[in-house]
Amino acid sequence: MSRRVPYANLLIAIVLLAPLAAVIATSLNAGNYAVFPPKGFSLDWFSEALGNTRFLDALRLSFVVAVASTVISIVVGFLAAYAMTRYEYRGQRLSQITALGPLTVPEIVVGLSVFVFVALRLQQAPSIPALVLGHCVVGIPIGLQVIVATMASQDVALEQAAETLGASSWRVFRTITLPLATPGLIGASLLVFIFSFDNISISLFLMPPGESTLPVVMYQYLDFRPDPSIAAMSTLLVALGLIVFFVLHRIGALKHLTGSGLR
Amino acid sequence: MTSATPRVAGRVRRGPTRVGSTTSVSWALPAALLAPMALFVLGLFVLPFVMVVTTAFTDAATDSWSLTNFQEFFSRSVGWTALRNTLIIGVGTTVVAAAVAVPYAYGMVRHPRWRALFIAVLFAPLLINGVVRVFGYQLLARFVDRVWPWGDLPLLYSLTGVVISLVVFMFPQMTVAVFASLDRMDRRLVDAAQTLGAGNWQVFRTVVLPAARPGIVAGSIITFGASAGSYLAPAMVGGGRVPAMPTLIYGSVSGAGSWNFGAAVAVVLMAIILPLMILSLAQSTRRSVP
Repeated sequence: MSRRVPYANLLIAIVLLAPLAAVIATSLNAGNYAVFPPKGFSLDWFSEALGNTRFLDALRLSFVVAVASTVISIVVGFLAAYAMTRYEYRGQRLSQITALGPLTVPEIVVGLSVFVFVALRLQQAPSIPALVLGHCVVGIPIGLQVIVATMASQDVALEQAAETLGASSWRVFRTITLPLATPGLIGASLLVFIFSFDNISISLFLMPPGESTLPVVMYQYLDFRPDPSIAAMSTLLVALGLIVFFVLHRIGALKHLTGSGLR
Repeated sequence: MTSATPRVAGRVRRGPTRVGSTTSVSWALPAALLAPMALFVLGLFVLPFVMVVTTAFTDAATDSWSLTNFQEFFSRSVGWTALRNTLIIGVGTTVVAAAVAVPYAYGMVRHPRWRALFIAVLFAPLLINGVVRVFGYQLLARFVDRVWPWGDLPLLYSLTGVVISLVVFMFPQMTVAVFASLDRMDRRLVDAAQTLGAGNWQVFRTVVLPAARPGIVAGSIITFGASAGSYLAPAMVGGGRVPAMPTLIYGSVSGAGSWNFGAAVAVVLMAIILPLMILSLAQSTRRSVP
């Protein structure tokens, strides 16, 4: 094994992390402009960001939508994952491929599709339920992947042994299947939550009139008045991402991350 | 046995599904469990996309089948420019990301002590808000441009800038795919090549690169689809000066209110991305889903 320091890798790592460092540094600006490197030092922009009602309203909407999409996606994904890993049925592989289909389509196209469906077929304006369902279209396969991977690695012999010893179906599910699936369910929930909370391409089409999710508000804010409060809000989101990163790392669910990206 | 039979009948690793009265039960249960997901996939993904396709083939003025939207797309320079930019963004990002990912992944294989750190560096940015990541890129690009002594750098408001930013954002996906291949490589091949007198470059070209190929192919499909379909990068880094197909889709729905034209752009975009994606999906489920 080579003992030399891998300088090329370190350089690339720095380039990858530099944008995040720039955001954090910029949030500490004392001046009125979001510039890097920061001029002066202050934490005032954090209180400014947390006192901004546009940010707070958007944060609330994003949180509600993310929680709702996560709950729906995990319930639907768990049921499907149970069928895929505990039964044999005709068309099994086809069901697995179709289930992951939404992950292969650009989110902007998913957003447009749900928007066209809501507007033309249902004759409705975009609304919070439409926004939640739109996020679920992609959230379900994100969750499903993680849950299927977890449940497929479980030893079915444990369940069979419990059944042989006379446990009821419900008891087997409650005492063996569910506890063993829990790390996968937590990992899946976090990934779906972050996906929904961060989403912009689907939200752009489906936000109810007069309301915006946090990423959209930040995106619009950056367009016209980038003072350091946007950097402070961004820094809080960097912190959120890193917290989720460490939790996923702890429960060993990080490997499921690479299916999604910046879309 | 009788009371437990319905649930056990279709169990995996229990041998073939039974015949007779239990078959209907073993069909009904998985079907019921899969139904909610099927409802979402069909009702909110397949059916809406079919509606996008029919909208694309509908003339907004006469409300009848026609090719006007596609004629408009291919007869106006805005359509061709978006198509060209999207192809350059997709191919450019993929090629550059692969060129950087292979040495990085090889570095991870060669330096096991550093591996955990280098993997963490790849994964951490993936959980951070896309708008925040692009904002960070903008801040950094302005800074680099300011301190750069030799003329202007095309880091912002240019096609080059969009590609550079997407390389930064897509690099983790590409690298993880390449690393998955390289990690399976027999390290003794490298030792053997070196013992036989091969230089570093020759080892890289004749041993490492062939071993990395499956990962490069898988990573390239993901990277091409994600970068060609990215809305944020052309919108925020391009700043209105780099029209691409995703920005054209949203622009024609939100601004001009021409859904039919936007739908046609989406259909053209899907025609580019979908064949590659179906290929990768068939590949990936064969490997990871049981």
